[in-house]
Amino acid sequence: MIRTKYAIVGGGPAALYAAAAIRERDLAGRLVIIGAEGHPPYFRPLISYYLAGLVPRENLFMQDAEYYRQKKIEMIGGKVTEVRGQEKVLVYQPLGEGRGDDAGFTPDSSEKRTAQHLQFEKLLIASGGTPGKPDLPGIDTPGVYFLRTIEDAEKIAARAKGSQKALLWGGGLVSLKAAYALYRLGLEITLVIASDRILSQMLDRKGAEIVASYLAEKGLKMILQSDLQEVHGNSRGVTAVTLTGGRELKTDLIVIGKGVQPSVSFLEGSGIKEKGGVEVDERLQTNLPDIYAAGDVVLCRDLLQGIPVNNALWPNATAQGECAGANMTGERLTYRGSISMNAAEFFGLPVISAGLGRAQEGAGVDQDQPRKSDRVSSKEEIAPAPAAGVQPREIYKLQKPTPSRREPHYLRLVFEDECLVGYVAIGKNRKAGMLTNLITARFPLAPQQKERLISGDLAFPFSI
Amino acid sequence: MKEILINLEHCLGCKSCELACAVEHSASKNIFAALFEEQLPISRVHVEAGREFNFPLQCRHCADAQCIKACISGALWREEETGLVKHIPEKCVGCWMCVMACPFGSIVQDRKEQVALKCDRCPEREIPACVEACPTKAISLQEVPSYAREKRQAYLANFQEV
Ligand SMILES: Cc1cc2nc3c(=O)[nH]c(=O)nc-3n(C[C@H](O)[C@H](O)[C@H](O)COP(=O)(O)OP(=O)(O)OC[C@H]3O[C@@H](n4cnc5c(N)ncnc54)[C@H](O)[C@@H]3O)c2cc1C
Repeated sequence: MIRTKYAIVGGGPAALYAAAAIRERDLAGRLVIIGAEGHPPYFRPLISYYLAGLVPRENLFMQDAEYYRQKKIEMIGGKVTEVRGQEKVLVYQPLGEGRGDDAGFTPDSSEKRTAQHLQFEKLLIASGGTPGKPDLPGIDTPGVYFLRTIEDAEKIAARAKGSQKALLWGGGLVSLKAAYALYRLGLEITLVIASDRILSQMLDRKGAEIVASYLAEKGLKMILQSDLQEVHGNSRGVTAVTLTGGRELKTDLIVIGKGVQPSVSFLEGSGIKEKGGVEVDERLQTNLPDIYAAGDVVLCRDLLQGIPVNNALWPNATAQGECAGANMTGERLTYRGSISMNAAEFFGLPVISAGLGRAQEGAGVDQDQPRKSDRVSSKEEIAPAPAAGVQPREIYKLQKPTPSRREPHYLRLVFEDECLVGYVAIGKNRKAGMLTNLITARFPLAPQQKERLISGDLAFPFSI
Repeated sequence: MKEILINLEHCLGCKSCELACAVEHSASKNIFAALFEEQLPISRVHVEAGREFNFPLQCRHCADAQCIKACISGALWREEETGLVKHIPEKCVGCWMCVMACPFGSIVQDRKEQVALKCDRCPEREIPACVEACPTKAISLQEVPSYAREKRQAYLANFQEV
């Protein structure tokens, strides 16, 4: 049985940031990362760029072999199948030969194929998320993919070579990134989206409309409020799908982007409390002492809503990993909580959203009146009689009329009393980070400061 | 460690720092030649002017840099020897996660190349271009003991009351 002071399950960014934080404080204690992908931690969000051929494979990895050697971080390619929380033992299945060829990863020799045991003093659960696989006739037809791993990207790239049409199932961030990659590879793109708008987790209705019409101009087809009912194929794989309502669409490949769930199945019987995501306290410790969790796998306090949520995003995974790692060495750092936030460029259009940026609009109330003036600022809604415990929200939208072929510019600000709690920025967005900071700092704005923001003047340095 | 400090009362909003920064980061490093470069040089310092005070803002090289933790491509990293937050444009994919994360709004966008740009503290110079160019010494490079970092943060917070 392997004995180690620190064990980390999962080899993603949360794992690496935790390992680095441990090594900043403790260079001696043995540190083992067990990862099921057989790759050292890599920039997962880069895989769509890798798929498009925009980023070479070697640039995906967060650190090189020398880093892990120097920091004495051991990596084992293996899948953890069981955690015995009380005994502080975990069981893993080595990946076996032929995997773990990337820098820093120890390939397992064939005689070690049987389940291995590992005794730890401190454990971090950083197993990330797994894409949800809808149950559907024909879903296992070759040519139906997820986009979550390097291998996924490589499989899609191989199939894309002989393909003309791609269907993206889902209208979220990953779907749009996959769409862009496949578009770059010359495929004809159709998105099938169950919701009434694209990016419904990120954008308000108006923002989504702006992005959608921009994407439509680029040649993307979007079918809203529709879903897949069946996947059809032949010996060469997928050929078509039937949508709800009976419409049939031809396609050569499908990428499923229907969300990601925390990877917790191996925790069954561990004694670690989870509710579809590992629950943690403000030090990112689970209900069991010496066992921590970070990244896409956790349910963690949302700074704005005050309740545990799964804000599965890169900056949250790194910050949580760093905090949990420090605490595993005995430090007592507090993790304040996370907010939902994301930034991306969709086919050349920058879009950023943070906090409660997409907070609901009043039923049908939309006072946005496009005027001829350079800038339109309109108050969208003061939420009527809010439910008990819910803050009333004020929402302002600013939109510059977009001359044809020019980039749209849209800013939506959501306030609760004197605090900014969310924004959506489309197009020009250089000062977005100041807004993010106002949200996370829960900065109480003076009336004239708020006025300034509402007028679209973000230059005032509010920071910190 | 040396830090770039700003004295609000001295800034006239003349934007000499912006010009000097752009020229320093041009191919030719010469103002006249730079104007004819295919890609017009971009300044990484930005002066907020025309309000009740003027304020030049460039990367503060934060100790707990939000931009590094938000970077999904490895373009942003901390140089151990200098403590500076560095950016590698070749690795940048222009996703703007750093723009979303920087509390000072001091990440600059090169929309043409679709990469972020930021202050690199002028590695080829002893005195950064913006510091040298500032006619009123509103921008200065000073040795700041690490314990004063907190004070610096407080100082930055104070500028809204000026
Ligand atoms: C295409 C794409 C684009 C994205 N773009 C963005 C973006 O622009 N911005 C953003 O904020 N986020 C983005 N994300 C999300 C971001 O990648 C995640 O938030 C981040 O990777 C989470 O890190 P993590 O370490 O918690 O988990 P992960 O990165 O998921 O890593 C977890 C690792 O643990 C392994 N593992 C799981 N179970 C076990 C087990 N039982 N035993 C051993 N190992 C196990 C997994 O195989 C995996 O390698 C994107 C994701 C994808 C797929």
